[in-house]
Amino acid sequence: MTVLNYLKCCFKRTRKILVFSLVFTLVVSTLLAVVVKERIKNTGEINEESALPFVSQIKVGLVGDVDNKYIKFGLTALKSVDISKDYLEISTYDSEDEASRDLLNGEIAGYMIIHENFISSVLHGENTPATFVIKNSLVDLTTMLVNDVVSTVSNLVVESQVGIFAMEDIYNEYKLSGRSDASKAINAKYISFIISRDDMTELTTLGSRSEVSTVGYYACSFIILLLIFVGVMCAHICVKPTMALSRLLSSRSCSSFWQIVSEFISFFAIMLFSFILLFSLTNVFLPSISSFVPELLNMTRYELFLMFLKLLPVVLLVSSMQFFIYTLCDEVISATLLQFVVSFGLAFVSGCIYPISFFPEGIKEFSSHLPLGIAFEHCKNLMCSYCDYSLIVYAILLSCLFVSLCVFIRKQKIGGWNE
Amino acid sequence: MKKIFFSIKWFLAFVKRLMRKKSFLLTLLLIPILTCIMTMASKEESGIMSIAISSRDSESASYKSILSEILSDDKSSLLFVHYDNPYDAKESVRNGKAECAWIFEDDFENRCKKYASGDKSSTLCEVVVKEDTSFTKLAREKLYSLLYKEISFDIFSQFMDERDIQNENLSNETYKDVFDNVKNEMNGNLINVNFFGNEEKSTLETNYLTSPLKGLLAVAMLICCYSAMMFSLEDEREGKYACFPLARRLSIHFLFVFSAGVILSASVFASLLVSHNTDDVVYDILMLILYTFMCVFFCILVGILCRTSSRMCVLLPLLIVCVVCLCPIFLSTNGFVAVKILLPTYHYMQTLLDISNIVGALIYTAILLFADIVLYKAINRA
Repeated sequence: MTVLNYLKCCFKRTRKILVFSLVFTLVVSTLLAVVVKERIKNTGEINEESALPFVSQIKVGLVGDVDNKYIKFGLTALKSVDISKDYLEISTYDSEDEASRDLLNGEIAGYMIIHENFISSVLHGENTPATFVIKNSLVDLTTMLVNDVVSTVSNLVVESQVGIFAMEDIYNEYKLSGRSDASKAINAKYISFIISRDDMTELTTLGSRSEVSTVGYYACSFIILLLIFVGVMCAHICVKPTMALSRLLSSRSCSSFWQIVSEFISFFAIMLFSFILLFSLTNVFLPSISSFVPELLNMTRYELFLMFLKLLPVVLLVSSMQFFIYTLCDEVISATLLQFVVSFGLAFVSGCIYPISFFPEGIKEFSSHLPLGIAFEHCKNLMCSYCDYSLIVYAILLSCLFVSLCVFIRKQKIGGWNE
Repeated sequence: MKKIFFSIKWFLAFVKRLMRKKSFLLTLLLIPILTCIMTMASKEESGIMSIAISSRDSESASYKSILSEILSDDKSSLLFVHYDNPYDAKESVRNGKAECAWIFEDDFENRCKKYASGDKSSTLCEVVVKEDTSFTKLAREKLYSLLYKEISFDIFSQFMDERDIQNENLSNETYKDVFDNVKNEMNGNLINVNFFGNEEKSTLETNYLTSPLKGLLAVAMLICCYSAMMFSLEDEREGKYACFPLARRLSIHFLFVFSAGVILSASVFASLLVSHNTDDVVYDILMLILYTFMCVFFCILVGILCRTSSRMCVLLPLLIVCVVCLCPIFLSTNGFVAVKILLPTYHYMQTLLDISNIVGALIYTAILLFADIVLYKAINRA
């Protein structure tokens, strides 16, 4: 009877948090859906094969002598005929202050300062370098990739310059006539090769059927991160600063095991309800959501329900891991801090924030055995309509291990470990 | 003087109280350990995009030179993996090990000549992607640059041949000599990359795996102060502050949250130091001190508005979502300026980006302090 009463008591405590967790799930899911929808509206409809429109253009700025005829010509070419127009958007600025303001506000990934003598130095082969400015130290991925590509742009121009100056040297040395015409012709030739540089390669797109798409990948991250956030919300009810009640319960035939089971069930219920809400929202708005998550295209509501059932071990695993962290702590400061450090640390190395392919092999291997690594892998598999039952078994076993550890810790604490 | 002694006495008492908690000590130790592990891991071979490279003719001299150039480039944020067999390279894309594969065609040198002559049907490389995103397109620019290097001489020599120049001294060898001479004399660097506000710092010193560390540690500090305020409110509810008059409790809250903030900022600083993530030690210490005050005043303000620790706890995930998504930790988000400027982490990150943002951060801190005092008095009066 005491066990049932304690279970009731635990559920009573979770009532208030439950409402807030549902509101939080609703607000965050709606906000995310609105942001994604807006982005897609701006960049075009997504298709079944690719999530390309989701990845917007990279914006860079140009400061300096933008009225120069050569720069004007280059800009027109970049904006209209060059292949970079698909992924690069160039904005011109009158002053560096304006460009730096936009850089700091995150409007642009970087800006190029073209000094007064830049064009004449290029025309004479002296090449006084222009400056490309990116944000200080805190680099995001786009900036890093732009930084990598900047040097390749330099290579294209310099290689063409070499050909043009070599031609001029030969005309001068051998006193050949028609140097001016030849110069114009070779310039035009190099420009045409640069503009059509994508002709050098043949593109084969495999499609994303066997692997999860970019949007699908981040949908999986969202599920895991949402569960973590809801778990963090429960710090106040999960942390036990004193063991007085636990000791009393223990003396009234409610052992550490039943205490932990009752507390875990009530905690799991919060996570489960948030998860049910998330899936109900997905179910209701399935036609709209499937327009930007390619994996959900052609998925029936029944298939979605089956996916939901198969995702339950993920909820169980994340809940048990977070509950274990709470059991370790005896006050709210370290509980929330440890929850953040451990959960976010694990989410980071498991690929929930940056794709797992970004990490070194050692971390990839290590994260595949971590609780959130397993949970994330299972989510990704289900997104691709594939279910690895060994992962489900692994997740359930790990959850049991976490709960057992919680029981062990509670027993130790009741026995005076915390005193 | 009496007030100062009172503050120091209580500050030390709170520090002692926190340091006696095993779980708090565990967390303090865990932060530098995890930071060090992350820093060590970031030194392993990795890239923001993995590219599989292979050739249908692995004996080709041009391919070998391109390959050695690519593999020796340790500045790149792209990770290149060489495959002997083009099929394996393609499979690596199919099974998600690589984002794209660059497979160089056989008879590469002749294909370059043909392409330079204008025969665009003879492509030089097959690019295999799972989905063609802005990232794979940007990475492809690197490939174009490598291929362009191979054809630029052919474009030049074929142009010269087409001019029909009647001079017996001119041959392909002469063209090659002149071309190579010009190349050696030319400054090959047309664009310098600089960090905003720090021209001396090299772009090589940053790593995408460690660059969010400062931001994440800042979030940890905010969470620590936030939970300390929750703890303090709980203490007040339990009557532990009953010996202090109501007007003095704000300073007690401040001392408790400040003690937690100071301890964690020491742990954060130790983490940054041992993981070599500090550019300027003095500047970093000053900014951490300023950030500690920002966090303390911000959390006290939220505490005053929420009034109970359970309400604060419920708001915590929303705060973390806002901080992680809106502050430049993993990515720079446009818009939401009205929300951004309310967050202490945003001001801290801005001061790390540019020293001139300190003024904004100081004004923000002053406003928070003012709001804390005014609101606390107003609520108490009510």
